[in-house]
Amino acid sequence: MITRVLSFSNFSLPTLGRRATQTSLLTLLLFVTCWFAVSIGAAKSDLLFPIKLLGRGLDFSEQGSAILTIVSEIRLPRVLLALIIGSVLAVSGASLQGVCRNPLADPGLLGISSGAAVGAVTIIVFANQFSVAESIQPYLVPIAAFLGAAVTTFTIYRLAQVNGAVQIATLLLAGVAINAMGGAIIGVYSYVADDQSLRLMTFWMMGSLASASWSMIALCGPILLICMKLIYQKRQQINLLLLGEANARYVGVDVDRVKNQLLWLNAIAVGLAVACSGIIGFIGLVVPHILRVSTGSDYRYLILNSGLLGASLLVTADLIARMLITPAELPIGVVTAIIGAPFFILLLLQQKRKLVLAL
Amino acid sequence: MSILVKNLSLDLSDRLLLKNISFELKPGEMVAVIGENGAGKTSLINCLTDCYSTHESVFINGRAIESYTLEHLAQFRAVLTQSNELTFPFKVAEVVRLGLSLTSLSVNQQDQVIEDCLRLVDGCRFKERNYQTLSGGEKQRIQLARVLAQISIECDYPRYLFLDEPTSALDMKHQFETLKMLKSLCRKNIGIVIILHDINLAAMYCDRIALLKQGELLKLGTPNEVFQRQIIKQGFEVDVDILNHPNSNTPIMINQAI
Repeated sequence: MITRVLSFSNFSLPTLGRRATQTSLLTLLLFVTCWFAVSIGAAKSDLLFPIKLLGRGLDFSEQGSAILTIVSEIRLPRVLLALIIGSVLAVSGASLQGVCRNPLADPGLLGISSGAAVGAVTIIVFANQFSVAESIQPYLVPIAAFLGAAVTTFTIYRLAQVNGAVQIATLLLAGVAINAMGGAIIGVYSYVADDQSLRLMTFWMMGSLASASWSMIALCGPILLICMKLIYQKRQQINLLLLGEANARYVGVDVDRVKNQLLWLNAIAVGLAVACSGIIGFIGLVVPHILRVSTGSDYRYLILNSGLLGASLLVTADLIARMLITPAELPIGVVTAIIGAPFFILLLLQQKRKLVLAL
Repeated sequence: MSILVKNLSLDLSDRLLLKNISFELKPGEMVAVIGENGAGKTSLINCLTDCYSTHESVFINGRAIESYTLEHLAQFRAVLTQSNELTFPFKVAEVVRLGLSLTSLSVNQQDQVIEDCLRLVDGCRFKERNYQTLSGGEKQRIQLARVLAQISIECDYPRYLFLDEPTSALDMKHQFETLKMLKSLCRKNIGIVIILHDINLAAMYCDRIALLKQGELLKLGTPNEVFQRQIIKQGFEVDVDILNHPNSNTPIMINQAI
């Protein structure tokens, strides 16, 4: 029974309705962007491609529709990978900002992406010096990227641990240090690398979804989705962590456990995401902030909405990356930064004005 | 059913913060903890709220505090700390709702509790405001509303509130109103431990006063027992004159040397 201290009062729920609308709109936006991304491409564009693909189903024997094969074997997995990675990056950014109670936190700042990049670049530069079985060659770079992310996370985690509890300020500082070290290592590599490795390295450092394939999605997709689901399940705990760790504990949250779990879930998710697509910046940082401005910081909605908007943004960015200078491709990290940075500054200015007015 | 403290000592990094403290807090009473800076007031609250291991010297409702899970404790014990800041923008109503996270109330029931708790701290008009734009005192009241919401669900056993300087940023009107409201809450089988620096407020509203000095419980008793010249001199190293409130007969302390 609730303690009724004073009389009942009518309480309207404008925000709940607004939030449901926002989630529906974001879902619709994702659907539309995916539709366009599947329909438009260098080979041939047709807005009916998605329907035609559905009509064809899984019957791949049909000849005479080579373009549909291109769409289903190249474009579709690429759009799907953009969708998954976009949402992983945004969900990861949102959850890390919550755990660290820091608006700047994202996988990039903590050094997780940078660790993954060092892993990948090491293989790119030195792989030709070792003889490796051809069957595992395509997997080497992604595996190294993932290992790099795991090693970095473990390092910053150990550095920030005091009496079994992770100190967030030390964690962020350790991330900055790891980032600097990663940058230095890659700098050294760029001196010793040959021309071809250098091109490949640059591509990796700025991200690309060109290597998307169904086998990659089958391998990484389920793990990434499970990670996102587990992070989503912690949405209420992240909300409470925002009150400060002591307060969160008083409200019943096992703070250390939740922090550890979220950190490792993010390391796995981001490590895998970077392994698939290289470093794609800005999504993790910008998406949660865009959503905070429109519907506040409640993580019960923020995580889900971040996933939806992050997916739409990356699908769109990938579409721009492959269509802007066809038949060549822009690195997708360049596109996300070119769109993201000015938009973010605009958002900051708007927020500043709002805050001044409110005060 | 009470909070029982038996020979509690706290030793952190070779500093003895609390020495051999024993007392009992019954639901229905409000006990003020007073003392000079660094006397151990916040450390005492931290021990009573499961922040430090107390080696089974704190018992809540008959069980050692360590034997409860965090979630179970959170259902009948709420704590207001001195930190009020939030990094991200939240609406005031959302902040209060965070206190209800572990409950299984429907959204409508939650809204009723939020409305009630905001009314208790005179915060209804801020309900839709961005928490970050509130003044220090307003933030403190909203955090108090969140803490009240956390234990707003009645249970079979007594509930407890621990408040670390809940009136430090409040204006005079809200100081009086808040303490009056807390005193009336005690009647709902709630025990309150409150750290106060304004000892006249403590004398006016609290049932008992615990005076700490260098980690020791110097004196525990009713306001009239504790607020005596020698005891205050011992606890705060200040000379005071003690008058009596004309209406309630509670002691009022004024500085002797002006």
